Amino acid sequence: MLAMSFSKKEISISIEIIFSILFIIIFMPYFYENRLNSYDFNFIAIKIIQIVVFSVIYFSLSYSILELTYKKKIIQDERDDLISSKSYKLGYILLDLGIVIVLGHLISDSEFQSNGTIIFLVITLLLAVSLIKSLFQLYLYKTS
Amino acid sequence: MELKNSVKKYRQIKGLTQEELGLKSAVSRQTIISIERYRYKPSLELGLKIALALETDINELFFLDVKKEEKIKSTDIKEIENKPIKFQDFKEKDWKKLWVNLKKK
Repeated sequence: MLAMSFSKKEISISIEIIFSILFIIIFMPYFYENRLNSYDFNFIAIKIIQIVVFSVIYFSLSYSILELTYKKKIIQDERDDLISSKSYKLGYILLDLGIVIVLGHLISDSEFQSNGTIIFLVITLLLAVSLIKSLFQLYLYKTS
Repeated sequence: MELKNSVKKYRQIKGLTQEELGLKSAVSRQTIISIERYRYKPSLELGLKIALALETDINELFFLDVKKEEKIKSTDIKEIENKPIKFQDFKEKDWKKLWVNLKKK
């Protein structure tokens, strides 16, 4: 059913969207709870390793399943280039705006200047931008 | 003026599927679907590739939909013609027209 309504490209974008959602569910509560604390390097290193291991397992598993289900190769054409340029443009605009907001937020209040807050805000920004970009890309694939 | 095409018509004449036409012109099936539904306007290069794959002239495959614009223009002209002219807007030809009509009566 999914294979009938979604192309291989659309499913690969959906994999990215699901990854962002899973990341929010699994890792974001930890960063949110510790947003006012200062991390020491060993503590954050363990978290980074966990994220890397999770990402590698998730992407290798999902892309292997995708490759097994869809054996045809993805043909990259001018429509794909147009859609990705449109979505990346939106992503860059949002990232620029987000950086300005995050910096303003950090400068305005000295209470938020711990490395926990910086990490939390940067990860939130990157996740939000990535999620919106992927959703917009999927929308463009479905409508254009 | 809108860019329209007869890709679907020529593809069916040639007996090709969207997938086959996509492979022949080095694009995905989704791109062919989008072109056929007028959702995506292909570049000149892709247009030529599709024309080559369908062995037709590009002018027959892709064209500007002038009819729509002509329809709008003709209705505009009709509306203008049917609108009564105000006395202060009367020009020489209108006076002449009025004079001829009065003479007829």
